[in-house]
Amino acid sequence: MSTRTQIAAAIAGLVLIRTAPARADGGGTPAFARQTGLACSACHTHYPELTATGRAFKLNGYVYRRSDSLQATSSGGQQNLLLNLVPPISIMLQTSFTSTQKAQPNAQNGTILFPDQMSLFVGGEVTPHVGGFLQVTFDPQSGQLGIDNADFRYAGHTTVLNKRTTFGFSLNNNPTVQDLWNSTPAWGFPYGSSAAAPTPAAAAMIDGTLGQQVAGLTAYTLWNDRVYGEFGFYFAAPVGTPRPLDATANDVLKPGAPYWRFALPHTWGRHYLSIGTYGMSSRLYPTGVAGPTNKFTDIGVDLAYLLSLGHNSFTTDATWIHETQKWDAGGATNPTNTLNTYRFDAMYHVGSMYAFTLAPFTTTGTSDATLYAPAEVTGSRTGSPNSSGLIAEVDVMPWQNWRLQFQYIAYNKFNGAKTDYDGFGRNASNNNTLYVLSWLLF
Amino acid sequence: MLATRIGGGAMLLAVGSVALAAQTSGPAVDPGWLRADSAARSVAVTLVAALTPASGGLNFNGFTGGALTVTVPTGWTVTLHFKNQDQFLPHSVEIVRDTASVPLGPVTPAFPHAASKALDQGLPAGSGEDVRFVAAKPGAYLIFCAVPGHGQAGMWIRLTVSSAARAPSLQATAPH
Repeated sequence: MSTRTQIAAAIAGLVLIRTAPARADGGGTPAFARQTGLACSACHTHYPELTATGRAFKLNGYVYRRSDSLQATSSGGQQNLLLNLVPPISIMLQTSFTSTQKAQPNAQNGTILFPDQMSLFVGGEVTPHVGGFLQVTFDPQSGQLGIDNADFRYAGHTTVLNKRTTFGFSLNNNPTVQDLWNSTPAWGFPYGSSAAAPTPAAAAMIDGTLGQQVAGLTAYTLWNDRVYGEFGFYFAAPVGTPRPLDATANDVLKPGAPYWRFALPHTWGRHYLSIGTYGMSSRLYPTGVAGPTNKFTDIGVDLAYLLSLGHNSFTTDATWIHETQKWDAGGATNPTNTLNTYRFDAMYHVGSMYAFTLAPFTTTGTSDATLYAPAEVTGSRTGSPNSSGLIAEVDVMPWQNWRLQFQYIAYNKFNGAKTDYDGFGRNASNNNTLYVLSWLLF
Repeated sequence: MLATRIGGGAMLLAVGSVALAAQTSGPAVDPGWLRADSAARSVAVTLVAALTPASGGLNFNGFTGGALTVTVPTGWTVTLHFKNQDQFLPHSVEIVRDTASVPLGPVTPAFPHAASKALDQGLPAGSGEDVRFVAAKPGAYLIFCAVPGHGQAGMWIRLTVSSAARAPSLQATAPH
């Protein structure tokens, strides 16, 4: 459950059921490798971070294929069947160890999760222009198996102003899950994070909060490999909620929330840079499906950079999200709040075996005594959403489909304060987290 | 026989040769891919990524895994007229030494300038670039796509720089 969902649930006194964690896990799957006949390292630096080939594969609808297929044609000679002879299925199994600097009250420290997360991926080419993936995840903490990320798309090519243009449509269930760059939330760093450690309370709506709660249809185009644009709308599609949605539903997205994305990728020499903007304007009914709504407007700016250094490479991703919240339907002390999220990661890849990452992060925003109320470990004594810290991570990949991740998160500020942040005597540094993750894909 | 333009004029001499692939199901070598100028000691090679659907487009002129060998005399200037015809993937081209394994991605080219500009990211579909270098040192080399993973998936052919060769040639060879 995301932090915003937790906040919203606390406000409404109700629990919004989620069946899958909102962490950025998965992305590349062996099903795609089997279809393309390409090693993981062709599409990922360190998964899920995409290379040029990975972005092209996704942009073109996951349809590129080198494996054998079963094909059939109609009596008129038109192809009407294309089935991959290799089942488009793969499994992700994560096992983890989490230890915080200080144990949470009355709780055991040193948490083993086996599995931390287990996902089944089904994905690949469906027709020559249609492909996608669906992730089904078992969450050991909820004990539930549910729909996780999904992205299905149609893609084609044309020529505009004498330049090659790729266009397509994406049907997905998590804003930014369809994005080509790892500088946006769904596939952004950290790629694996602990579900057992405390995390800051505040997160923007586009920052994973709506994942698996919505369905969106977007249209996108990449012109001349230089200009990318995307626009679409999202609708409420919460997993685990009875249909049709009615007065008993909570946090329902008002239909037709616009989403936009614009990016300018450019390559020169050994450098690749993409700068862009993305955002979404969403209105949520706190309860039911009618009446006043709370409005969240997210505007993001992002940057993705890669420097090729022969066998090695250096990548960095950065994003800033500014959210304006209008609590017309109540639920907050202030009628209007803002929230700013800054994230940056710098990753040095040594071949495909090692990666070393430093990633500072900061969240700032308007203090609100209702949204960020005091609560042991998870709350805020000051009513502030401000948090900051640094993630240091070493990844070792003995095999391309097996990653060992050693991550340490050091908090400078947590939910508004450095010391006694929750009003129960807990310090920000008490939440410093060591997270060791074994990540298998097969 | 290969038609070779000398000094840019109309006189044609046969200075190169094309050995077609054994009469098997393999791709055919097009003599037009290679144009040599013996007076200028230069050779131009047309190199098309994904010319055919072979190996999912991971091929140069339809050849993969070293099944095509370009031979040039030592010291000649080589111009690769490189074009990416792949509908889906970006591609690049780089000349590297023939070592035990094909590199995952870009490495230091065997000769100065023997690489396209965007080695790691590749050129998008429909675009091209001329890569010009001097084959200064005899030996065995690979012409490979340096976009990570493509070379290791078989997107490479051979370049032989030979002091014994008197003219450039293009020859289908046994794949790796």
